[in-house]
Amino acid sequence: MSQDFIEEFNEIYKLYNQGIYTDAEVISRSIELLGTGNTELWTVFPAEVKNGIRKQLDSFSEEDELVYFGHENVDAMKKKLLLVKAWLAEQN
Amino acid sequence: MHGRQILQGHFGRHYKLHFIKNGPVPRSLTPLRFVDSHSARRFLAQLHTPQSYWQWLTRDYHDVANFSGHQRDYLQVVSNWVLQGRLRIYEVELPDSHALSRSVASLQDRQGYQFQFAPMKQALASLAQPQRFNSIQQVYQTLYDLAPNLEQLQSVVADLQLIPAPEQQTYSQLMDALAEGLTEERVALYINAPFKRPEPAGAAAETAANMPGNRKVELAPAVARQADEGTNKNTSENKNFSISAAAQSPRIKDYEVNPNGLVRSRDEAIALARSHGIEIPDDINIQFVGNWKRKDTDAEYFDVGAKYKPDDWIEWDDFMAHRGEYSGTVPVRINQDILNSDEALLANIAHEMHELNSLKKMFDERGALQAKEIARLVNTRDRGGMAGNLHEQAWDISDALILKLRGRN
Repeated sequence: MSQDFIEEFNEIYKLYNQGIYTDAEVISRSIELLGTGNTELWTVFPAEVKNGIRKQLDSFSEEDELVYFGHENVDAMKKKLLLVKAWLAEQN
Repeated sequence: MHGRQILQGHFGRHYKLHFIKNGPVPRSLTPLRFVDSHSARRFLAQLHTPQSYWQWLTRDYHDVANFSGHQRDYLQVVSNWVLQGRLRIYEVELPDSHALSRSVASLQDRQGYQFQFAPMKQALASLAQPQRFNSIQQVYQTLYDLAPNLEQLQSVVADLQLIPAPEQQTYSQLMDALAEGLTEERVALYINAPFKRPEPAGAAAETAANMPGNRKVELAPAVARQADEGTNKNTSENKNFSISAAAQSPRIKDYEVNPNGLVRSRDEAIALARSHGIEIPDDINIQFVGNWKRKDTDAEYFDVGAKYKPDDWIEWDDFMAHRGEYSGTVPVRINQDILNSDEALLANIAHEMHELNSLKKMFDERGALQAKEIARLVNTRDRGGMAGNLHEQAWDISDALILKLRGRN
């Protein structure tokens, strides 16, 4: 299962490097994938993606109202954000 | 006198009696509620009107047929109607009331049209019909046509008491507040033409067509042009094109696969779209992607799920990729599995391009848009999108295009 997520991330990152994803999209999709609980993905992420995720989560708190343009379910995405934020805090 | 259904009550307040059969009222207005017909009757009895008014009001209804002579209690009949919801009572403000005179704001555009903004409570009491809008885009278009300066906008928003401290708000925030008031029908807009000498018939028609609010809302230009061409022909499929009844989802969901197993290349797909009048500017990068995961759509752009707070500002640049060979373009990703269906290709590209071309025009005019406004414009309703927004218009446009395509084949 984890391998599927790694392959999915690699595909998105490859397209990102070609200019077929934007900066915000690649970070958003990476948080989504990490939020599935497959935290091994973190080791695959390049430094720029890790930094982007940290930066985005630093400015996010549970009380925040977010505007969604993505395909993920609104509540599910917020749950993933909180989960990844908590997991990253544990790592530090 | 009886013909006017505006009645005065205690403390100089005014009320309008509105039969529901006479159509809807602005949705921001709520009728008075009564717990029983006695309380409704007590309320009606204190209104300043002769008893004969109630008889006049019930003149066309058979409910009173069972009564005869002195037994006819017209006031009770009306009270029952109020309780049943058949007749509704709204508190209104008269255009000439002293309190209201402070809350009516008037501006003039470059052609001399008077734009009069007033609280919606006035609309029910007014003989004039306020401007009706079919979409939030049309609201913004009308406001841009008016092009008020910051001071005028502050004055209008302050007079209408739409938001606190308008003098501390930016131009965009003030425009948003006014647009929101109009969209939610809390604010009524009346547009009065300037006085002119009579013109020849043709010129008059031209003037009416260019009147603010009558001017056509600009869609993705080429698609709109094609839709226009379609409406000139009296074919059944063209009747499905309607901006005012924008669809929440496509009416056509099963796109036909190409005959003979024809699968388009990327370049062919883009050329096909352009040949059907879909405008694809050079800074849009349509790419077909394999291993498509999404079940809800076959095309996407700006797939950013968790970054923006409602008041955050977004620029066109945020829609763009910044690396690789396509740096400086807006990526639009489409499921490569639909390359075997011209219908699916056209529907998806027309949809995405209508949204993007319309957004680009707004970015060009304003520089940046707040996240909450973009969400209102392009999201589905369950994610904060507004009825009749660009997303829903886009379904109408893509449906019309496919129906036209089928009619041609």
